[in-house]
Amino acid sequence: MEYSNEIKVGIAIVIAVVAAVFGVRFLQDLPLFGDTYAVRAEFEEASGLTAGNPVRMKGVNVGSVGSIRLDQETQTVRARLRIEEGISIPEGSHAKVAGFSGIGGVRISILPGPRENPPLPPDATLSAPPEGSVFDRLTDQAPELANKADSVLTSTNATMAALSEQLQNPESDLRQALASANNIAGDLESVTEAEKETLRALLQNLRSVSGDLDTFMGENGDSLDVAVRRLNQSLDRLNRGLASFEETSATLDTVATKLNEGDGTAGRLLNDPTLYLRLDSAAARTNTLLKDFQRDPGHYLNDMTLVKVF
Amino acid sequence: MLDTLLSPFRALGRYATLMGRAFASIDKVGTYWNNLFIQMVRVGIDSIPIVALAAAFTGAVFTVQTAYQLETPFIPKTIIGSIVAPSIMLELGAVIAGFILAGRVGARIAAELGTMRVSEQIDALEVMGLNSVGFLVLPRVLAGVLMFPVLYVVSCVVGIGTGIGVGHFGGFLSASEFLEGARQFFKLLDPTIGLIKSFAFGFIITSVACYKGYYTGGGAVGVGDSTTQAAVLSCVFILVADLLIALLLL
Amino acid sequence: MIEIQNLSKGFGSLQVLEGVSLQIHDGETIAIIGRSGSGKSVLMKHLVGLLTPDEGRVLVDGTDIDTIPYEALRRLRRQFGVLFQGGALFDSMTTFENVAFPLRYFSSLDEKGLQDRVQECLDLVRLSGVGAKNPTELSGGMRKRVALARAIAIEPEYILYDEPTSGLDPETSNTINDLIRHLAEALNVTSVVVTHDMHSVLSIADRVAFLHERDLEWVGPVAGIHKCSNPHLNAFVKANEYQVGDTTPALSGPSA
Ligand SMILES: Nc1ncnc2c1ncn2[C@@H]1O[C@H](COP(=O)(O)OP(=O)(O)OP(=O)(O)O)[C@@H](O)[C@H]1O
Ligand SMILES: [Mg+2]
Repeated sequence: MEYSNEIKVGIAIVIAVVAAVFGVRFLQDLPLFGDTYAVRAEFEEASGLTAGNPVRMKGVNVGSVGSIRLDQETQTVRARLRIEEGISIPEGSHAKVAGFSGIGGVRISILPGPRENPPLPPDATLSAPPEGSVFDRLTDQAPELANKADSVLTSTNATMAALSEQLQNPESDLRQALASANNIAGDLESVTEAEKETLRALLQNLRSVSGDLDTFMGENGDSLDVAVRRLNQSLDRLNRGLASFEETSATLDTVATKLNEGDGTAGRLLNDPTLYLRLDSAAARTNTLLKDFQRDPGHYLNDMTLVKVF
Repeated sequence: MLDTLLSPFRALGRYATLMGRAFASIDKVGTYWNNLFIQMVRVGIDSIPIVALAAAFTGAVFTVQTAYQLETPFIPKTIIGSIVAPSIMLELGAVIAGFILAGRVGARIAAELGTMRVSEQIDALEVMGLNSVGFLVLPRVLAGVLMFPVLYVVSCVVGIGTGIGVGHFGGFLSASEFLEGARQFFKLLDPTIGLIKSFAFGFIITSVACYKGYYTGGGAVGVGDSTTQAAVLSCVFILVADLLIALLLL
Repeated sequence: MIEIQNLSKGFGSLQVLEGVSLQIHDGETIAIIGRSGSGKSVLMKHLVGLLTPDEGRVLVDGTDIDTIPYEALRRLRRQFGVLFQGGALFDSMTTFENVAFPLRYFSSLDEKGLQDRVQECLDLVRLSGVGAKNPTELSGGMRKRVALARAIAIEPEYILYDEPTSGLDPETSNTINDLIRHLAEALNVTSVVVTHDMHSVLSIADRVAFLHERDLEWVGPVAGIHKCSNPHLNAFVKANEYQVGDTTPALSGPSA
């Protein structure tokens, strides 16, 4: 009897807490039992998304938006999602905002990555889907890359032409010509190095989005076609560029050979062995670089043809 | 003249002092443990039926009237749920319970303490060496703050529940449509603010009533005055607090 | 010892007490008499800090009760038992719980000891068998006696009685007077008795203080009450005598 008040109060509070928790979870579309884990997502645009909006994967509710904020520094929207325990999101998945805020149907839609990928760990970040922007990026970058290679090769070509011309011409300043050839070799080296990275990143990107491509085939068939065509064109151009590079290096070879043989008017050159050696080494370096570049891009290009599969 | 001008400040000062004394004795709440639970039952448990009743009618009427107002083919029926559920959680659940308790609990506390004051029972407590504020005021205010959220939950659950029921069986919208709408616009902020309001209202009602009752003067008429003022002032302050919370937190 | 020094108190425009000074010695029983509305109850409430003087001080064993911290005041108040004029019983509790109330908070008695003590106190005021009743179910005189039982339950050092015998039949009055005297003598309690009842005064008081027109006009041993020259006190005593008539030998004796 002494404790009957305490018991009454205790029971009322417990019931109220249970009712409140279940009610809220119920309205949040969360499972009434069971836990959730957090996953982060980043967007360029939230489109009216607010905390509590559902998170769906393939159209099924798998959680809700916990909080959302605008990162002032990077101007990106950062959201925290609560995903039901037991729902695993494969790595390589993306999240996007779907629906219209006007009729209240804003939600986050998760585009799952390849099934065989390991599940995302808690607190991992989902990025926005490439939406074809990867293709844009690819097609944007590929010509740039090709152009770069092109221009370098062109200028190499020109220089080589000038060099061989000057080698024929006894009056010319061979030192200057050799120095400029040397410069070009250096340029080439840096370009190859830089573009190697770009290419690698590009291809990695390609591989990681290969899962998305499936989805895009359905939705964006046309634009994909266009993108692939543009990509192919770019790759062609790159190929052509590389071909001319090859040609140029062949020229350089010839020049070097000529010099080696002491042909033409290279008497002065032969009088200066150091100059000769320097030219030789420059040619050799250019050669290796070119070979490297030729071999690697070839390998990359093989990878790139993956795109054609889709 | 100056007295009349200053009297609200004097009242506020006395009120604040009383609350200060009440919470200063919070370390001795163990001594008055029984009192706390008695008050929690009187303020909280005993109020559940009337709060549930009021919430039920509010939820029902609100749903029917919203349905009536939105009778346009362009608006999906789910919107009724999207309007009724958040409104109850954000505002009506707490305010309806607040008004009912201002009458039920506020008047009761003021009358109780007022009678104790005019019949010298408070003096009797004091001369026994008990802290009358700790003994009488603190358990009531704590009971209000602790139990009002419970009543708020009751109010919300019953209000939304009857809303769904009346909508469904009254043929306005199906229960699943109601829930779909309610879920679509559900924000955790709504019940959070409702809960904050309920804490605030619980405090306002019990503390104002304690203040009015504790400082009752002048016999039966005084008790009557205190009781009326407690109920009226609580209602006014609930409205003010409601607005303040809305302005601050929304 | 309780010392009232130059105490003044008013309510709004009404000045009730002005420059009242009085010493109440340990173990004595002092009766405060005076006309209705003269401020006896107000004076009594000052002794336990229920009212704060506008001017002057009240010292209990040398401590100014109006300047000490509240917690100290509470401890000091536990030495007091106060019988309020209206009884001030807690009407939310039974009679038993009313008497048991101070014991629950300020004694170390177990439940059994507590029941015995409550029973004892109720017996002392001749109220056995009403323990289960609510104060509202009791008569005025019964309520007063329950309140008295509550005031003496924790065996305080000082007991303040505000009209302990008003509203009681002569026989019960005598019982109460006997009780007050017994407590004073056996337990050496210091008693302050506010009363109109001269019979009471004469049977229990050691000293008398007469409150008139905002001040104590006469303070002296109870024996001197009929020999004094204060016209107001004489009138007060005469009126009482007249009212009670010859039925009170203790009164008519000395005055004859
Ligand atoms: N709280 C109060 N507020 C205003 N006036 C008061 C208050 N308490 C007492 N008074 C006034 O002080 C005066 C003295 O009151 P008090 O109760 O001390 O009289 P009393 O001598 O005890 O009379 P009685 O013998 O009838 O009990 C009265 O005129 C009363 O109106
Ligand atoms: Mg009096």
